[in-house]
Amino acid sequence: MTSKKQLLFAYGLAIHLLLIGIICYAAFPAKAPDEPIRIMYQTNAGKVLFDHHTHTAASGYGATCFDCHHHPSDDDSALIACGECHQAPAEDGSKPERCLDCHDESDIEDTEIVSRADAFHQQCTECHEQFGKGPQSGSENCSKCHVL
Amino acid sequence: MNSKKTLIVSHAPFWHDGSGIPERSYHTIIAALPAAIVGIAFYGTPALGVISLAISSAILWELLLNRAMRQPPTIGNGNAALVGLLLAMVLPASTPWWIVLIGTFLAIVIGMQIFGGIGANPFNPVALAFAILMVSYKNHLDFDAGLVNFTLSFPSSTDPLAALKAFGPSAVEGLNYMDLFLGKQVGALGSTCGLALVLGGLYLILRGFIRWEISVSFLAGVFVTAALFNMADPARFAPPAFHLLTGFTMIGAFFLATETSSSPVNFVPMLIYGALGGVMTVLIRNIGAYVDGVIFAILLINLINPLVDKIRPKAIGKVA
Repeated sequence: MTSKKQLLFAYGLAIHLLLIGIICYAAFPAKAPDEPIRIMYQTNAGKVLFDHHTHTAASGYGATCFDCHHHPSDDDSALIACGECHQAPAEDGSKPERCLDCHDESDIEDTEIVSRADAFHQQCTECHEQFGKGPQSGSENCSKCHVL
Repeated sequence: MNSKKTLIVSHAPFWHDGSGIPERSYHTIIAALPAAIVGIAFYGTPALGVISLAISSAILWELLLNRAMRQPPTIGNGNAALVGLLLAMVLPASTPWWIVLIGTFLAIVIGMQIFGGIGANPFNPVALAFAILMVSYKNHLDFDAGLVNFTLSFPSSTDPLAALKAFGPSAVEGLNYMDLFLGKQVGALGSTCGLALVLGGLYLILRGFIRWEISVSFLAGVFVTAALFNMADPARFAPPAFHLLTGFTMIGAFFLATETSSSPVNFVPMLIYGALGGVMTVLIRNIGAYVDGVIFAILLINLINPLVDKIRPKAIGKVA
């Protein structure tokens, strides 16, 4: 049996820590920063961890924003997640909402937007090949990025 | 004459230093705190939130169960708080609040209370709860995926064990063992700093709260098995020191495998129990499907605990 003092201590511990816990979760909610640090892509071929910060930081690979975020060129409105435009074609043929923010549907109905997977494969392998660094293209190299 | 007090005979122990389960729990909490504080220093408020919520909810679940089963409250012994703290220490700092609540429910209710509470649990409640969470909420318990929004000042921004599993030892050969020992690695919020965990473990061993045989044989099991794998094929298997310093090895050796009711009490059984845990850990890491094997290894050695405990000194005398 435990003494009354020990019981009171446990009650006090539970109540105080519950309050601290609620404050931590409520006042400092986990939110994604405006510029991503790392991005974990969940794909059919396994997850891919992309270190956004290392690719863009001057101490890292020093890529500029517009090296990858290409449309509209050199405009801050291009700084959005890749998947907002690069999506699998919708069944009803409608275009991604983000495209319709600027374009009329009739303007872009003939425009083919490559899927996110194709866009990434193009973008990543092109740059990696150009610099001869990191995982290279080739069917034997899938597991250099994709982790099942 | 006939004073009632003089004729009372009580059973052993006749001499008691006044310590009990509460002392044991709170001393273990004190020993574990440095590692948890290192986690708070690395990950900030989210880590504090997970720790606070885990301890308080573990106490409240136990209280609720006491009420439901019409028992006097047992939370005064500090065991629920200890289970909550240890569970928080194996979770990533990004764990959502509802997973913390489910985790402490699993540890306290499924892991302990339904077996009869403290001392009656066949499995380590923390390992059991974490194993269920790991299988159920894979993405939330994935350290790489969970910590994507954290700015980490570590030499590598990926979980070393996950990198080893996916890309082989060449992906982790640049890591400095001292950095790993000081906790500068992606992982759970309270189990990466080997230094703090070893200090906590030594304190518990010196105070007699845990047995050195289990911790040492666990670490030796990890080291020897990893060394054998490494000698067989250094291109596929990481060196033994890497396995000692990453993942849950340290917290497993000092805080999880040594849990009283799920570990043996005699010398030889303790050595077998600990060593088997270490061997299983490396087997799961090197040829199993999971990134870290410590949790499942501990559940497995918990299973053999009643069996190895049969190895015991022969009782003196005989039954007529």
